[in-house]
Amino acid sequence: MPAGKTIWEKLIWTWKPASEYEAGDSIVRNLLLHWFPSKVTFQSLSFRYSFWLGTASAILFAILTVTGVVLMFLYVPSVERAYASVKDIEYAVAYGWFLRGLHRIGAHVMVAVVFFHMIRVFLTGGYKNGVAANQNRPINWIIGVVLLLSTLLLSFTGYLLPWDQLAYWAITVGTNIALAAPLVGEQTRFLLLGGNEIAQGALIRFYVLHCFFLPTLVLLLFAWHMWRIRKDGGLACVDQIALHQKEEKAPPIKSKTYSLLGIAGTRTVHVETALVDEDRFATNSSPSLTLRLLVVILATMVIASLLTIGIEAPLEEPANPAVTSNPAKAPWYFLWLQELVADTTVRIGGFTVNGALVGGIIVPGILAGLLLVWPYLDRSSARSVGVWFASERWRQNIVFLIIIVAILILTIVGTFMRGPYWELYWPWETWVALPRPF
Amino acid sequence: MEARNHDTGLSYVFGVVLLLLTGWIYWDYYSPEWKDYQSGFRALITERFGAERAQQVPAGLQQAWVPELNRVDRCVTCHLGIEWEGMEDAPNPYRSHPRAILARHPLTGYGCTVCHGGQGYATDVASAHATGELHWEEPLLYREVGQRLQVNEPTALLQINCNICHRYDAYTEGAEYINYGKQLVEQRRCTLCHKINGRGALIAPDLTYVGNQSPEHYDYSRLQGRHSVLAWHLAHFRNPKDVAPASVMPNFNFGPRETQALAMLVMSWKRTNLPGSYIPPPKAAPPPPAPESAQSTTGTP
Repeated sequence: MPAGKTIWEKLIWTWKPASEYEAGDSIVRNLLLHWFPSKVTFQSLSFRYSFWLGTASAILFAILTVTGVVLMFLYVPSVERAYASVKDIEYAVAYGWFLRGLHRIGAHVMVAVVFFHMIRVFLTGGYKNGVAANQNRPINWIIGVVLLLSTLLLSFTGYLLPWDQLAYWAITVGTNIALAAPLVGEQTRFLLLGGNEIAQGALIRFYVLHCFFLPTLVLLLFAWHMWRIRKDGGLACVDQIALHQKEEKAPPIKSKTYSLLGIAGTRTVHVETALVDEDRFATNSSPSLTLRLLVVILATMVIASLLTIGIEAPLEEPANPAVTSNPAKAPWYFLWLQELVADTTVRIGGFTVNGALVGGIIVPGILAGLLLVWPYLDRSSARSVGVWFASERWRQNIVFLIIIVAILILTIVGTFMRGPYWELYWPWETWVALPRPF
Repeated sequence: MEARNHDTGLSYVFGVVLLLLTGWIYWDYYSPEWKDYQSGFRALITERFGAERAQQVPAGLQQAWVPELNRVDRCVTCHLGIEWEGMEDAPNPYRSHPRAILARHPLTGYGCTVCHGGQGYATDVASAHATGELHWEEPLLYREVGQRLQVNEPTALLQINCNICHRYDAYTEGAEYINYGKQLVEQRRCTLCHKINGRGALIAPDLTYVGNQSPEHYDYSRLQGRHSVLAWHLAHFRNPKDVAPASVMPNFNFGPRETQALAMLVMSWKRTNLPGSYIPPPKAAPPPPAPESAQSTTGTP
């Protein structure tokens, strides 16, 4: 910075690349930015295409990592101390209530954001390969599905840690569903809980999974997810532009020659990729992408902070295996399954349908299986890559949306309309008052 | 280019909001509810004993930590006058604790909540007194709870907690309702039907640990008003058939004082895992059971 600048000028310091080279160089030479492309299409930047949900979930993961690491210094994963240490965090630790609240809200929002990210990718056909070479978007979709499941597991393992009634009975409900799995159900639950009941063994297992294994898994999968996006030539919407360029036939598609790759293999590999860098389609990542990224980061932090301040993190009585909380509910993102379990447990004559097997194992199993293989079953053409509600894909989009709406309705019913004894209550009805000691 | 200008504005807006939120969180941290109570106490001490004594008033979060009882009671953050002499007539939360009880149950060895109830960890009034509808382990056994249930003498409710340690005392100084309850148990010969502390018959339910019974255990369908264990016991002692028509327990026509005493007594009959040193010396225990009823004690914990 040249000398003689006033403090004000230093404060409002700004930077604009003077040339294309400088813009690209600023991305490549920066450790935090080097994994971005040097140019980015306007379509990829737009909020209307992606809603930036994937980015928001990554930011939430970062927030959760930072708050989570601080919480690790304060939380004690033992059945004797866990509840008391959470109380201390809530009442005595400086900013502890905010730390815990942000971690909790961040986790809930992340589950929702990752879920909506998946919906977005499905509805835009984002898992489909387009026109460029060496694309493998189906693999990235599968990584995404595993990331969604990992996010659910991360949130679920964290749910037990406060060791209050809410935690204890939610995990009881959640892990009891595993019991319904044929053959391996009991062993799975035993493995997860480190025993037959939720006690110290389960707490330390959930803690280690929550603080080490699952975050590491998510981090690795996240890196792979990002790397694949670059390999696949960016977001799927870019393929639409490439497709139109092809149709216009002028200018011809530029190709890139990665001759360096060829040296090792002693031959030159020519990779033809759709290179969309015309000024009417694309702009320099620095500062367009970086600035918008900043906006999304700040917006995510603001929304998460406001929710933290607005919604008090509950902490019920200490976990008590002898007193079942009523209603005992799984975490909200599993409540559609609990609701399904309750609704499919029906008695027809002398025969009882095993709801836990149908609603807890078969239905979610089929849905997860379908999600994983769907890119290979979707036979629509490259024209429906990266377009919202492509006409070619209307049938699968409608079926998908019906399933999503059904899941959302079941979640809402399970969360807001199930009162004590799992009775159905309308939102305007007051739940029957549960007895208390005093 | 247009989008970029838009983003710059947005980043400023969100940045300023985030800054304001951070500021609010700081302000919230530096202006907790208890600071007002502490300065109020300091002003009161200055007024009564002068500025020099007021300097002895501690500042910041205070707590009575009793590892033996697994209690951390931060009540003393606001209730600063507990051990001060000359504050007997001060308004709460500054009033000093009745001296005789405190002498035998020092703050350092007992804390507060083990007798009074309430949430010791909490540092704001609503959570600490725990009298609301939220999930609290034990509410403060004081005026609010008693008035809600229309008991005879609301402030006496905390004697329930006295009897958790003193259950084998025939008479406990200061726990008048509990003493009266015990007297009634003897007079009305409850052990003719109930088993209590291993003594008595098994015609009616064993009451030894009836205080541990979960609230869901009772049938509230015939109970008016709030569904709570205490309300159920009060109604039940008023007339057993009101809440349990099939009950064979006779109606003793207890008045409000009797019903409160007995309801408090049965609610105090809980299992404890207190260190032995907290249980009062055996001389206070009732005489050993008579030989003929001693046989029935086998098999009970």
